[in-house]
Amino acid sequence: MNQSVPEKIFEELFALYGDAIFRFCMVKVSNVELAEDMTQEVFMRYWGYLSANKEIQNPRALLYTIANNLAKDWYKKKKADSLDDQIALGYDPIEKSPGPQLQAEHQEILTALDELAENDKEIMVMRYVDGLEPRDIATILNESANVISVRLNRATKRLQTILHI
Amino acid sequence: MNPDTKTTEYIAQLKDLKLSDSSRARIKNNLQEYAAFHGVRDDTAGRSIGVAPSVTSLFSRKFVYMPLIILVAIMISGGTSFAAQNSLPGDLLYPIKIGVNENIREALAVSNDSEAKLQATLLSERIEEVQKLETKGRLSADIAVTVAAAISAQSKRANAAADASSEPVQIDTKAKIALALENFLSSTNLDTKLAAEISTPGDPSVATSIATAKMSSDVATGLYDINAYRADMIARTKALTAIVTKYHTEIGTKVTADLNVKIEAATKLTVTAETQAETDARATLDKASELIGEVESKLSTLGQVEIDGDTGMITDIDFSIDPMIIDRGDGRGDGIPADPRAAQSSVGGSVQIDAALDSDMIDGAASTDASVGSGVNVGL
Repeated sequence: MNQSVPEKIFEELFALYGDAIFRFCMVKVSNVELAEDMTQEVFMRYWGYLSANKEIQNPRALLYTIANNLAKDWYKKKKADSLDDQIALGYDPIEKSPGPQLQAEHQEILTALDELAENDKEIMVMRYVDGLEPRDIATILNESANVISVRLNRATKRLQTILHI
Repeated sequence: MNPDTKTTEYIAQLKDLKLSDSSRARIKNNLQEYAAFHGVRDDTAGRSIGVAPSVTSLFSRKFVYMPLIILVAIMISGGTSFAAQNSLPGDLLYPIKIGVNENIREALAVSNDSEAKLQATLLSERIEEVQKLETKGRLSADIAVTVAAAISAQSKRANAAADASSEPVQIDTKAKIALALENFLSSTNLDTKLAAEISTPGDPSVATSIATAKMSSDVATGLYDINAYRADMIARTKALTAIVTKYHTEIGTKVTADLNVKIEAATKLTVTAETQAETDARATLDKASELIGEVESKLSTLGQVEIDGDTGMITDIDFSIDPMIIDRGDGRGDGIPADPRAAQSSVGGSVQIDAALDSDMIDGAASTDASVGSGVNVGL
């Protein structure tokens, strides 16, 4: 197949970071199908930058930033949809159902993480699952590294309480 | 096992949570098709992020297949590109070196690490070019203005790329950048010569460019300087000592004692670091930083902490903002590790509210104060 250089890069990036972005989305939306769609959308938007030859200094950070923005949009939309319509229709607006494909232990961890404050979940995953440094997380979330460290520390303690460790 | 390690290892199991093979193949396929069809992006596609057309870029969206074409062109006529590689600012072929050769090198540097190395190399090349120009006596005012700006811009790019790279590469790259800039700024006459060229009723922005270059040189050397690290740790410990002393009544005797133990331990480590070799000192300071982080973390659960935006240090605490203090009543003093769940349940109601606040705050550029303070009720 004839691939241009950007296309080749694009494919490599998906191979490298596809899973990490998927996990990030899973933590955000707790639903396999939705997270897969989001992952795809993240990379499509990324292609928007790549194909326009925009200067991309840190592909991984940009991917996370896009994912984070998408998740925000999703929350907004969900809020708007669920509060007005879903309550009227009798749906539980905060119910999240993961797909049947999800393994039990992953489900368990996600449930535990779900008890953390919304923006603590993602930093825990970025730090301890995907190994990003607090400094990198800070760049992505537009915070100071110190704030991230404090939040990580606190979330760890909180999780210990939840897990009775 | 350390409970912290246990917790993080528990979360780390999520590493196995991956896209299923079928989903991966499907998404990969979709993305390939998407990339192929959206090479020239449609302006009406509202979902894509808007991109300003770049007139000067050879890689603008009208020429999405340009990289391929150029690659072929270079393979066929490697001579031009090779000649361009040795060109200097002001030469006919110089735009080819910058616009084509380097874009290709950038496109080929996929990982953050290789990107960082490349950007640092490019910075050295920019500086070498100036030095060559000077040797040849071709450093005119016009060119000086352009190269100074180019060097400044390149040093910013290199620093940003270094920030994004992994630690060992980052240290290397920062050192390389600092060295290159130092070389540029200190090489005989060059600095003054440039300054002279520039100070002719010229563009003040160039002076700024050089100042920026100087500053990034300072930052590059300062960031990984062990002395700066130690100084930073000393400042952090001092700030915390001051806060704990100031608010010992609010914090409670037992907690204060516990925090002081940690602060003292950190201080000792910082002192130990002074006599150690750099690698060991770094590890010791990391440990101290961890302890200080624990103290900061604990403080942030007691009240709303105020953080200095530049240094990231806690500068003050407002105990009145945290309802948990009131809720805890007399239990506050023996709060720390005793029974976190009790403390937790006593404020169960407000956790919900804070979580909601938190998610709203992701939106804007939430102030550091707010985002630190907002989770205060999680307990330890």
